[in-house]
Amino acid sequence: MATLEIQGLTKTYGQLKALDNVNLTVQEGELMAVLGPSGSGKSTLVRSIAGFVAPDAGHILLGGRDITFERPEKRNTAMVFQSYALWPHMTVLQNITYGLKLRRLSPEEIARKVEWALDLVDLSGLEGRYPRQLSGGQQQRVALARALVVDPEILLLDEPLSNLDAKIRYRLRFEIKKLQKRLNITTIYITHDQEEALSIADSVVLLKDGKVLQAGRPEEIYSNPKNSFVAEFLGASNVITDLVLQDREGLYVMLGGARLPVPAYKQPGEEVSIVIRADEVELGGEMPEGDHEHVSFSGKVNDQMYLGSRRRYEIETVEGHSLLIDSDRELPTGSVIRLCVDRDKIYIY
Amino acid sequence: MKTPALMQRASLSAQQAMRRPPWAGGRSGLPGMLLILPALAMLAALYIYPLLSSIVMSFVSDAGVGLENYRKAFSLYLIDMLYTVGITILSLAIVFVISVAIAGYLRFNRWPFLNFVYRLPLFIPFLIVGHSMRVFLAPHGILNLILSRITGIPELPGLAFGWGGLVISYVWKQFPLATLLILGAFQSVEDSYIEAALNLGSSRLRVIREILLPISGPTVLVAMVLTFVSTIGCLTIPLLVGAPKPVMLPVDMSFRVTYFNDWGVANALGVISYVIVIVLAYYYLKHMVREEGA
Repeated sequence: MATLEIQGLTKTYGQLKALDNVNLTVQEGELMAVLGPSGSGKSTLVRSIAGFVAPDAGHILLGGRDITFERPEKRNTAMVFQSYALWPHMTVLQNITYGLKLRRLSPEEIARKVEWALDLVDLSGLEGRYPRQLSGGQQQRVALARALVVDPEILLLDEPLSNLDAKIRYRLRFEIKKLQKRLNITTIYITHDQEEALSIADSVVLLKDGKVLQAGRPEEIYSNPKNSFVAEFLGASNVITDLVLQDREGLYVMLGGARLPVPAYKQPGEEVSIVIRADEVELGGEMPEGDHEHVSFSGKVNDQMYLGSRRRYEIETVEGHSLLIDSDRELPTGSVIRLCVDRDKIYIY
Repeated sequence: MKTPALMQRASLSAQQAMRRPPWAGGRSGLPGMLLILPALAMLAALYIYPLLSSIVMSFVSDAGVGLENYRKAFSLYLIDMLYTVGITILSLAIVFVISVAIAGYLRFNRWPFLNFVYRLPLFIPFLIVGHSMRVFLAPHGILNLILSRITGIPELPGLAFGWGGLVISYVWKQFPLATLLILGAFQSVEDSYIEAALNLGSSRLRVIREILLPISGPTVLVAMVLTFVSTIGCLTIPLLVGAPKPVMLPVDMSFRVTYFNDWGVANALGVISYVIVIVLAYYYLKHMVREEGA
């Protein structure tokens, strides 16, 4: 287990900047989720930590040791691949034992560690199977066991759950987190799924075009997104653009007949983004008089969709903006209603 | 011997066969048969018929039907048979090492020059290879002239008229095809399999031995069978290179036919060659299956 420090890491492929001056620190025992859309450089980041990509500039320090240009086989990192990369000609046992044999451990020690690893991922009894005889979830566990059994300084998970169906993914997510805490292993978890990142990580880094857009604890980054891209990527379904207006009281923008103040760095007439999450708006009901915590505005129900536990409404404001709002209330399509939202939950950029 | 990839492909095609779309024709329609008929006819006329007739003729001699040809073949050419097997296996082993080394190197590194130049012998006919090796490896050939300059020893024994020259010629001619096939197989192995092994601390050499080779097993087998068959069946190279005695079996066969018009013994030697190939292939496969099962 060790601290990972990444300093000014840069990698260019032709014109494309896959990593652009990335600085990160992952503390010992911390699970950091690296979140980003495809092409954001998150795979390049984890592959340069594992040693499969040579960066153009910057340093990677693992436990204080500079490993930037060390050969992959000397780094003592362990990676779980998106495709699992279980060797098809080896059984589960042979797959897990491979790294231990390379470390020239005694047969007794190998047996002890393998038993520990199989037990860890709950795969005892499947040692003799070939990867093709296992389900996706089981293959994922074997890949995890193969990585953990060699006692790596850092665990690298490259979209480990993206090939599994939703139900198994949900369960394995918590298992990975529990395992990681139990072993207290420094971990980098690559994902494009914001919910996965927020639920599993101690800290989240959001990458876009090779740059770190925002980094912090999940709660922090969720409740204080730095810009509309971060907010949108973290699950805000409504991003409305409008123009900044100005009157004697300052800059503002109109939404559903309500006046929303705009940060002072904006200019009148400039475009502004209003970000609102679908589940943070209350439908119907009047706001009490003199409430300054909330904003109330009106809209018309244009369409709706039944989602089981709730309904998703498409609301149109008088300005012609369309908002998606989730609610468990039942409202007829075409009705005009009041909407109420916490002032802190409206993000204006 | 079946790798998972092959088995997956097999099971996939089985599934596809079961769920044929309504517009797909039957598996063996008359049009299909007609289409392959010319090829089948050629195969039957030029390969299957001569094969069967040579087997039959190997049992026919002046003394009537019997094992006379085989008795003669063994009494005259037993040494040559052992020599043929030995030279072929030695060449095969060297071809295996060289082609895996080049394919392995090219799987990890980009070197367009090597990737081009190793293929050159593919385009040079056996006859030319035999002749140029004869010149290159002769007692006063190019190789020895260079070696004499370097070492200062004026007279060096030539390799051209011994087993060494023969093996060098076979290897030089055969390794490119094997390399081509094996490199193709190595390149179709997913990067992540290799990276996973490196990540766990494996060296490149071990990756070749423990990951690339086993996953490419079937192709390596094909490459080795092709090399073996074309080495054991090659006539031109051993006619031009190698010692006058012992010689490779094809030379004996040609000798029996050309000087004695003795087709019986020539056919018997041919059948013995088939048997050698079949027996070795059988042992190789059995060995591979045991490896796989272990």
